[in-house]
Order: sequence, then C-alpha cells, then structure tokens
Amino acid sequence: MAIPKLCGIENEFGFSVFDAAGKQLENDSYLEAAYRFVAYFLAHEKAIRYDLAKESRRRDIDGDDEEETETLLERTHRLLIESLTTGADGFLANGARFYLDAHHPEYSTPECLTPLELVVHDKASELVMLEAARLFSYQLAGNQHRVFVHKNNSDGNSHSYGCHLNVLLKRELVDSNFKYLVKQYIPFQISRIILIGGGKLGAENNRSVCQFQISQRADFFEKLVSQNTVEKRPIFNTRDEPHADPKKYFRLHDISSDSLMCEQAIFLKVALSQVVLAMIEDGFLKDNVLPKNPVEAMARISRDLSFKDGILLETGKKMTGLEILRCYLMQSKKYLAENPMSDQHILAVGQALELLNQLEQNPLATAGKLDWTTAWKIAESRPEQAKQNLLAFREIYPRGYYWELVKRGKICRLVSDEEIALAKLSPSINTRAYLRSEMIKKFGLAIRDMSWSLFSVKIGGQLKVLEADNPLLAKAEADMLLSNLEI
Amino acid sequence: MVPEEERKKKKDNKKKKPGDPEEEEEEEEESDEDEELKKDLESDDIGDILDDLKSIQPEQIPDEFRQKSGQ
Repeated sequence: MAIPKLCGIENEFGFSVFDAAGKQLENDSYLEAAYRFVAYFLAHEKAIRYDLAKESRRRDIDGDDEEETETLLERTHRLLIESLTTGADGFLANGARFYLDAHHPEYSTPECLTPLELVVHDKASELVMLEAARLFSYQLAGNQHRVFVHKNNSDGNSHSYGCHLNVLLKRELVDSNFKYLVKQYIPFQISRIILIGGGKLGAENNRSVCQFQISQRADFFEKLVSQNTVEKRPIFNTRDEPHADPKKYFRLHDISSDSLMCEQAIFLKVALSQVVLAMIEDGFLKDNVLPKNPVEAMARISRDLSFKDGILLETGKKMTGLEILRCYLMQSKKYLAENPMSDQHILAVGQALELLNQLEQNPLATAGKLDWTTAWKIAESRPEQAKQNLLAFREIYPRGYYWELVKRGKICRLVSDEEIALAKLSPSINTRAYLRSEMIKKFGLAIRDMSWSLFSVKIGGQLKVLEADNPLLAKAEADMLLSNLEI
Repeated sequence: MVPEEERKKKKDNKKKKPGDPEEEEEEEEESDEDEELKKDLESDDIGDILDDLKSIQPEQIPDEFRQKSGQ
C-alpha cells in the first residue's frame, strides 16, 4: 500500500531591480541586491540559518555522487548557492526555507500532507515575497530603486527558473521498479500541463515558433531522465536527496511543472500528482501511454491549444495530450474507489475531468480557474499590451493583476486570505514541519544547526542533537521529542 | 457575488455627494447600484479590468525585463 504522499513546493521567483535611470541592475550589483532582499527579511524574521553542511551529500538515483558527475555550469551554480548560505538562507517560523538560490529568491514550503494545505502554503510564499519586497524597498529608501518580484518561470528571453514539486515515495519503488516509475510518470508529467500550465507568449530555447503556449517550462526540457536542473534539464529529475531516512524514503524532485497563481490549478497539480504517484507505488497502472519522443511531445502538447495534435506513442498508437491525461484521470477515479486517499483527492479528480470537458468546448471559459487560460484571456483581451499585462498578472500582490482580478471576483478561490496569512506563521501539524516550527519558536537563537532533518540546540550549556528523519512525524511524537529535549 | 468592500466604497462615495436624497430613495438607488455593479462584475470584462488597472497602476515594468537562468 502506498505511503502518505507528503509534499512541498519550491518556487524560484523572478526578481528585478531598476535604478533611478530605469536601468536594470546586473551582475554584481544585481547579486548584491538579491542577497540583501533575502538577508534583510531573514534577519527581520529572526530566521534560523540553514546549515547546508549538515545535509547529506547530494546524490543521483543510481548512487553516484552528483558533485563528481555534474557539468561545469551545474557546479558553478552549486558553488554560488553554497557561498550564499551565510545570511541568505534560513528557516522561517512556519518551517519553510527562504533563500537565495544563485540568482533567484526561492521559497520552499514546509512539508504538507493534503493538497489544500499546500495550496495555502504556496500562496503564503507570495506573502513572504511581498513583505521581503517592502522591507527591501524600505532599506533602500531614497535611492529610487524599483523592485519587481514575479511568480513565473521564464523571462521570454530563454532564461528559465523553476518550480519544483517534491513528493515522498517509498525507497523500494525507486530501487526495484525505477523503469516502471519513469514510464508511468512521464506521460502524466507532460500531459498534466493542460490543467496546470502557467501560459506564456511565444517560444523559447530555440523551439518551434508559436504565439502563445500552455506551459512556461515545456520549452526548457531537453532530456528524458537525468540529475541536471540548470542545463539540459530532464523531464524526470533523478536527484536523490531525501532529507529523510534514505533506506525508507525517496523524495521525488519533480522539476517539470510551472509556478502557479490560481488556487484551483495549484490544488489540481498537487492532488493529481499525489494520486498518480500513489497508483504507481501500488503498481495500479498497467497501460503504456508513453510517447515515442516525450521531450518533443511535451513541447507539442504545450502548443496544442485545440487539443487535436495526435502524439505517436511507443505502442504505435496516436493520442492527443488531453486523451493521455484523461486516461490518468479515469484510472485515478477507479483507484480512489478501491483505495481511499481523501475527499480532496476525489474532488480534484472530478474537477479535473469536468475541466477537460470544458477545455474541449471552450478553453477560455476556464479562465479564473486555470493559470494558462486566464493568461490567454488576458493576452487576447489586449494583444498590444499582452507582454506587460502577463508580467503584471504574475507580479506579487499588491500591484499584481492576479490579486486585482481576485478583488473583482474573477478568480476562483479555494482558501481564504486568513488561512494564507496564518500559514506564514504555522505549518501543518501532521508533518515534521511542526517540529521544526516549534523548535524555532521555542529555542530561537539557541539553535546551533538546522537542516531539514537535523537540529541541534544549546540548552543549559549542553548541546542536544535531534535527528528527525521521518518527514511524516506528527504533532504527538514531535511534542514528546521536544519535552525530552528540555529534560 | 458583489464584494462587501466594493459596496461600501460605492456607498461611501455616494454619501459625499451634495444634496443626499431621502433614506427611502437611497435604498432604492442602492439596489439599482448593486444591480449595476453585479452586472459589471459578471460581464466578460477582463479587457475592461485591464484598462482600469493600467490607469491605477503607474509602476509598469520596463520592457527590458531579463532574468538569469535558474534550476
């Protein structure tokens, strides 16, 4: 039986600063600004420094040490991140990690169990960016810099930055059935963009020309499977960094989806991915719907706004992206009838099937629920300002158009503003994030080291170390560990 | 559904006008205004909203928006 599909989302935000003359900061002056943006906020929040050195070394799924096999660009990127960990990398009171990932402010949500919990925490990341932007602007008051933060994944000039969905899997699935995992998950990854694409103007990364496409990231995947994330990105990333007991768990680091604004789309992304991975873990999926060339198929599905492009499968059959996705949803419906996960998952599968029907009839009717159709509608409404308006759609509150559309009742809401504000302070109580959050609230600066799974704190002159390698650790157990610490 | 703050804003604006009508008329007008606002919000008007937003948001990002590649 599948284990609970604990998950989290990492968003790298677009960040730009313009000086008084309207010139965008670049190179060192940019890096300094981005560093300050993160560092000011972490200092203000009394965040606990993330101790990268305490993290186990990054490995690839086949056991290789990533540092020995990484490319020059990947190495440069990693070293830059490592050099920035002092001052610009820390855990917040809600158990989330906020840091400068080379060139982008990045927010990793705390671990969540349910799709709605993760929707709330993903939206809370925007609140953190807003507050960081205000603090940064306040610090720079008088020099007339203008700061922009965008929840997007590309700049329209072939530079992409990611959104990563992390999902807990059983180690034995990866060790003994890796090919099955890849073969069954990739067709879902490339077809789910029909529901969870961010939408963007034009093509990037030397891909075939188009005016508008469904996914922000699709053009940036060049391989099927690999450990890379910065260049020659794969659809299926094999980074093996579980932040948990490696004998029991594998953290799937899924880099193939877009950053999202619409709560409905975030909900579907999380819930459907959890169900599909549970089905794979249980060996429930039997059909082979893997395209012959998945990389090319993903870019084609992203450009297929009428859902008619037949993709050649390994089996010789042809299916559209929408038909592939519908297969997964029908299987999910069956699976959930036999293997109850939660009402939220049942709801998500029902909503997804209904949305596919609506997309076939009139895609723009789903604007307000799905990011890409909302973006398409914005672009269609004012073609001459489409570029500016789409950027503004993804700009963080309060200037962002997304939130203006929310105020005007044009966006479907699943969670409340109060829940989002609360998530900035508190994590789910059903995961290890609760322990991390309580540690920060209780011991604050007495904490010496903190990584995702290891904490050390000085109490009464004694250094006490706590290893929490079970990410599913819930409140009762965490409370016991905390009280033992103080004895 | 008409957001409460929109209603309140409209109502407040109206109060500032000189020569307020009697309470009864006000209620009647309020209901007309609610209808009008409801129609605005329900119409297919993302384009209109964008025009509106452009006029209230002077800080548009300059054209040369560029980012570094990330992960």
